Amino acid sequence: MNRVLQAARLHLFNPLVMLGVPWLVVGISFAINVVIWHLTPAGEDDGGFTGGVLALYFTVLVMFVQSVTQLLPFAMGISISRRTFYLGTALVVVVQSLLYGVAIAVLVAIENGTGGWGAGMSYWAPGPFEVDNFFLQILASGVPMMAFAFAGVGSGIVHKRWGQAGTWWLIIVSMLVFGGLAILVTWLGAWADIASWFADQSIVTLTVGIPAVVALLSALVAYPGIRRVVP
Amino acid sequence: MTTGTNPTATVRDVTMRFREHTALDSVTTSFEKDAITGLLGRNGAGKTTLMQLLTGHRVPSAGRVEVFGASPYENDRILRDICFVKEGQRYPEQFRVQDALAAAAMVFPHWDDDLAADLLTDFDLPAKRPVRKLSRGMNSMVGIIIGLASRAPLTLFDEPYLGLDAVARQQFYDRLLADYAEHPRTIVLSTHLIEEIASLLERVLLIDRGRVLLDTDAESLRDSALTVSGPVDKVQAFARQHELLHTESLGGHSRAVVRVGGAADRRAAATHGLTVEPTNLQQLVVAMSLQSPATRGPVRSPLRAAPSEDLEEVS
Repeated sequence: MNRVLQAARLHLFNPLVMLGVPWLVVGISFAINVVIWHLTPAGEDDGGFTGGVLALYFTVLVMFVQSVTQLLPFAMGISISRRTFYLGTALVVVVQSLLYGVAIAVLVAIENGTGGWGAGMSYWAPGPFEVDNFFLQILASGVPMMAFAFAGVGSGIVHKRWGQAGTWWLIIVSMLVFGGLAILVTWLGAWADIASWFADQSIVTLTVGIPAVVALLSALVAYPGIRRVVP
Repeated sequence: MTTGTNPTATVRDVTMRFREHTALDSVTTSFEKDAITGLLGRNGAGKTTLMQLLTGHRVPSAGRVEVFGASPYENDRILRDICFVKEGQRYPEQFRVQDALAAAAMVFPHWDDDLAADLLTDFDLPAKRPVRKLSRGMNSMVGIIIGLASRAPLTLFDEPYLGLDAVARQQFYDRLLADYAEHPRTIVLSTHLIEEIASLLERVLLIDRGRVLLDTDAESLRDSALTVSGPVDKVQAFARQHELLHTESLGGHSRAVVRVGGAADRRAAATHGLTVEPTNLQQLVVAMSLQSPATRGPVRSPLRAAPSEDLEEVS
């Protein structure tokens, strides 16, 4: 077996944890939402919006943080190079995101076929993430997943490379950067311009293009970090 | 066996600096093909750092490390033939013993499943238990099984048996020797239990404070030192003619570890009226490591300056 495939295979030694936990979490979130939407008139009020599916995306992010922090020291212990581990992990991210995209697209189709689970709920592809084409839906749901997963891989690498202190710095620096941007935009009075810029973008750019750029950037930024990790 | 002309690994003028200290200082050595080398030294001597360099886990600050003729850093072609078993290897949280072994079986091309199964039985390890729930000693056993069953052409054991009881350690030595006899490979073994492994070793590499103190074959090393004991003045007289490594005195009686040239010196000691015993490896390593760096002198003949005053001070 190819070395990269072997590294990818390491991620799937315990598929119940790797694949089961995110779906268990989002399944519970989904069940809670269905019950609430049947008990309340939520579906009639605000166009059926719920962000519950984000639970899946964030759980996947956390799973990939752990994949790196747990598997990398072991992978290096059995003589897999950092680069090979990284490529294997990236392969898992891409394939898994697309498969999750397919699963979500199927769930969206069921959702639309059942009148939003009988409650007018738009759970699996809320707001702009719902597109009217099954194959496009795979990308619209799967590519953002890829961005979350690579963000998780990157955070895991920061943790392995620079330790707990590195993780705190990552959080602090991100807050400063995004907080600073928010102040800058407010000071320039540019929120309306930004909103209209987003409104001008096509659904595909928003749901596939921008997440793809985020995923690619995370992947590229994370790679140099892993090169000097000592297990 | 093969001579040192075609070593498995070479380390040339390698220095490894960390922010606050220098772990290795211009180390040059090589690891002979198909031999068992003992990598010895005190805590913090640089043993683990040297092994990390040999396995591409670290990159030297200066100098060159080559394994099978190429740098091991990020080199999968080289790395697949290296197995590095280290103290405190971390295993993924959900990995059971059998998962760790299956993963190793997948990546090491020379892996032997039967040997792994045998060792699992020998060590009485529960295959289905998560590695993190194992005791310290059982955790070490997992590493040892991976190290042996990988049959990697270069296998490094760094303090592999933390928490292992004496019986399990003996099983490890026996298995190592038996499998090595059938499948010769280059083995580097770092440990503090020197006497236990002394009989296994063909080569000895002793490092201290990041420098090579001794790099020789075990056979000639054993012949290179004597422990003599007798009256203080006689021991002192004998020690003056040779390199004194270590001495201890009680009353008028003294006992000294002395480096000697060969059988002639051995006879000379006997004619001096001294009791002569062979020096075991552990005594020799302790004696050499205890020498202060100042008295060591140049590396090639590190023990030239025989501190004869020491004898008087302690007596």
